[in-house]
Amino acid sequence: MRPPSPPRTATALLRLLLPQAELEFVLGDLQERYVERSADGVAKAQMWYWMQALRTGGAFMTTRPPTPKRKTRMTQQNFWNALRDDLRYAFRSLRRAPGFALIAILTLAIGIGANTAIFSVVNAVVLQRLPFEEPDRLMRAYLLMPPGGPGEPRMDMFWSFPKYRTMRESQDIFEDLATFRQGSFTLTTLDDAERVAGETVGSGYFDVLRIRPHMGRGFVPEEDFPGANPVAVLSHGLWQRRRDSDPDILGQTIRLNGVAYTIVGVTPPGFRGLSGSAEFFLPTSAYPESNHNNPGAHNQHVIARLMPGVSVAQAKQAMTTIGRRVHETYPSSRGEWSAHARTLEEVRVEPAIRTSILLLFGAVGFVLLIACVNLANLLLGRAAAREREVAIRLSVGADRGRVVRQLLTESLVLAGVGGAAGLAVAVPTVGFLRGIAPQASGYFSEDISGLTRMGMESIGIDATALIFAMVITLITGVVFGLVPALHASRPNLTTALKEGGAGGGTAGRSLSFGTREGLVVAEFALAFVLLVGSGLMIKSFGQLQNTNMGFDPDNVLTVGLSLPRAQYDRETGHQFLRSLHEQIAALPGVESVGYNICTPLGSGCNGTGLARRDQPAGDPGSSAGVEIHFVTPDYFHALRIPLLRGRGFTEQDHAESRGVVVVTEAAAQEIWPDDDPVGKEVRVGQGDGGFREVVGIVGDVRYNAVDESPFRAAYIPVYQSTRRGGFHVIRASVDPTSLVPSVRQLVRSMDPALPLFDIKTMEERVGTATSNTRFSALLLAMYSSVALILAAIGIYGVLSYAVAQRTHEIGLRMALGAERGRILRLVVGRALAMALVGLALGVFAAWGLTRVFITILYEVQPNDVPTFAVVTGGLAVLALVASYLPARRASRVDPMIALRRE
Amino acid sequence: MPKTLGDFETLILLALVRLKDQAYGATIHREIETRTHRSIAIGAVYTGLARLQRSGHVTASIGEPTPERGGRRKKYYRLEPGGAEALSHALQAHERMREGIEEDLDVLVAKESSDR
Repeated sequence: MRPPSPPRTATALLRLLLPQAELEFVLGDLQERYVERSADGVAKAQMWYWMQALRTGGAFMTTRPPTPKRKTRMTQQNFWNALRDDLRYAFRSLRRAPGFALIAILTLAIGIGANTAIFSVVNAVVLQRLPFEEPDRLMRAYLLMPPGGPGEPRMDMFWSFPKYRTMRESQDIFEDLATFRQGSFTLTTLDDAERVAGETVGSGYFDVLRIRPHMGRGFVPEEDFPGANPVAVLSHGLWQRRRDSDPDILGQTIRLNGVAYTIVGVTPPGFRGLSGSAEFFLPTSAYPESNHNNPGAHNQHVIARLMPGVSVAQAKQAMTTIGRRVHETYPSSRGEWSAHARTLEEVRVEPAIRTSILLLFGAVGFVLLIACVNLANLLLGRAAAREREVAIRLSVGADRGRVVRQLLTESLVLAGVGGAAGLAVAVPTVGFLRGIAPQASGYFSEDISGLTRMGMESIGIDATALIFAMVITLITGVVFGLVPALHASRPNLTTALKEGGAGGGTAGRSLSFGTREGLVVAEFALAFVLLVGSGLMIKSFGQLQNTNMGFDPDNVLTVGLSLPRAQYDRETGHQFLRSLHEQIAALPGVESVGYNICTPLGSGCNGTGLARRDQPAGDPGSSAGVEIHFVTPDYFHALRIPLLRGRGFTEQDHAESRGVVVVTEAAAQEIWPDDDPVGKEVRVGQGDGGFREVVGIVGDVRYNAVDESPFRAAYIPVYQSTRRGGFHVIRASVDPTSLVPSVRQLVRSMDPALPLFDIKTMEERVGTATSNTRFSALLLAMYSSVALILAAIGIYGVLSYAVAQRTHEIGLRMALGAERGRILRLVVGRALAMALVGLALGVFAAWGLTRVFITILYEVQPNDVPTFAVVTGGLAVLALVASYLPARRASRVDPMIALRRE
Repeated sequence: MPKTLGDFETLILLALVRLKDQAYGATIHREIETRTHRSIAIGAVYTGLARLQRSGHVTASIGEPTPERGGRRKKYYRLEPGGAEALSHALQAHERMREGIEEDLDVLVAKESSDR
């Protein structure tokens, strides 16, 4: 039998702590004893071994080595011995100053730990590199709509197939390009129906992204056009999940929206398309002929890879020319269309999110700075106290290099312990943030969201951030740790020796008192800026919460349901809708039920143009961009959208009756600036082409985002359109989620092949829509709490030292009759003076810096006076509290003891 | 006059006498633990031995490696004449202090235990 081996970690610890010369024998002895003891139980023996390791290590660390030999020349052996001596001395001297060591390690732990954790999350959520080959060569191409009116910006638009083909033929900047569009399909098997997300893509799609199939092939150019055999490529995940990783999958079929597709390939693991959620891919032959030939059917995204040698700037320039070419081929009465391209990196993150990330970076820097300032402060304080010790050592003949090395080692030990403590802080913090980070952190600001979204559960500590924070603090530690050594090497050793009577004090004061006070002032200024920043964000978040979104989100359930064209035409689809709503309305707890093709704060709302009949087409401004909604009459009731003028829709507004439209307040004011729209006639882009009468005006609804003011919109009765798939909005008098099973049951009883999708309460949608602001506000709040703690530690540390160093002076004052209160005021007043100077600087800096917040603040001015006032007050109170303890200690100085120490 | 031995140093020297030529860290540690019924940090044994080496009571020599200690070598310790003399002095001192107190001590111990 092999003898049991002792715990490895303990052995490693011993290797680290013990002198090389003794190591072998000690380890041997310990192991021998361990083997004997493990006869009584291995666990007990291991415990014993650990205890022995710790005690033995301690014994060697704190006692003089058995054979002290000093040589003048530094041999290799000598270097390690010296290091060991230094380490031992460093540990002992830190143990002698537990207050200093504790505060320094705490500062490092918070500075390194919190920073690393928060940065790790930011990095993982937003900064992760795109997982494609040469992602910086990938671009998205866009059509640009004509401006909606004079001075209005051009808006990005999807491509139609004809316009895409024109662009493709007239470009010479892209190596390859492809259309893509995400959508969701109903996947049916014999006994089951499931809603799955997929993408319909051009044949070049996989090549542009340089994705090679795991099995089979991608698509070929013939499959771009209608008439080709229906084929599909599965994602690796779907292949595993639904087909048990069947190796003979190629050639089998899959039923999507009632159509059978032959499987020709499987993508590599992890690839879910540019939408980040695709389970399968179809070629564009899946679109009907009409879609391929209608230049006005704008519904395709375009991804392209730059040709080698073409720069991003060149490509952007070339797109303008290409856009003109597209416009010439397909001229429009609405104005001049154009085109442009942006790198994948540019479109990946919303500008507002980009700004908040920049802010968080700023915050990282500030907190790190504060931590370093704190450390510098502590070390300077210690330097003052140790100057005498250094002077003595030098005067009795110590080598200067040796002294410097010793102090350096001490700083390194401090940084090492602090770093370990930082890691101990970082790990649980990351775990905490992981739980609260917004799940739907999209990488694209548009409707294709979630490009290769990182699962939050896979976020760990970011090594770069950790190393960066540690190196910065290390440098601070080393620089300021060396001050006493360098300072004491000045020729006037005698001064240092003579002056350092009481606790080694006054000499230090001449060295660093001004510097240290300056550092505390800086700390207050930094903390002020951070706090104002987070105060603004929190206030902004509060405003966001109180925003009137134009509808009442409480107790509303939204359920997606799509009716496949293969099974439902316009007639049967609308019948299905009516019958479903009748039955849902009859459910207990349901107040009303409505339908729209999209939900507020959901994605996929559509836009089109609206033209007044009384203005000739072609006039600038005769056609205005509007959001377009197709709704059932009860939709307005279900969301409690107020009717402002005229009437809403009724059951009488059906396919055979006169075409009607309801516009929103914003549309009414902007399209009929000095006229009443009710009774007027308009043509709506996605209507049936005829004129419709405006019958009413309803309140504005924020369909896009909580912090975006509502855009003009038009509502058309769904029964006057061909629409039938979309969202059912159910207002309940009970908990809306309790309705889900019965609604599901209802739909299944009508058609078992229809799955519900995207089931969410309206409150959940609001929560998701505000999650980014909430998350940034929370992160900034955390940063500023860290800053606050560090600032408090800083001012406390400085004043404690000041009091300790001035014990003699204070004792003298008291002996001469100064009152306790006077001493208290002296110390606290000193703290307040530092704080006030810092605050003044902070106000000045924050006033200028908060301007960067403008884009992400919602209904809060960057120079919000109440925020500034609260922060100022808060920091002043902090200064008071942090100075009170040292002040009290000062006021209790016993004059006799203080004087006797001389 | 050499420095008098500490209590723990005396214990180590006694262990060396007992162990003859088999005295190294592990055996010394075991000998003291089993005979005194005390749990001792092995580090204390080393620091004690180091002090005894400095005062010349003890010398060390490197021995052979054995498998039960992971193939590591032993460091054997030998009692030098000076050490033996110091130990003898210490024991004599003990002996003289002990002389004639047995009965009194027994009474004290008995009284102590009956008090409880």
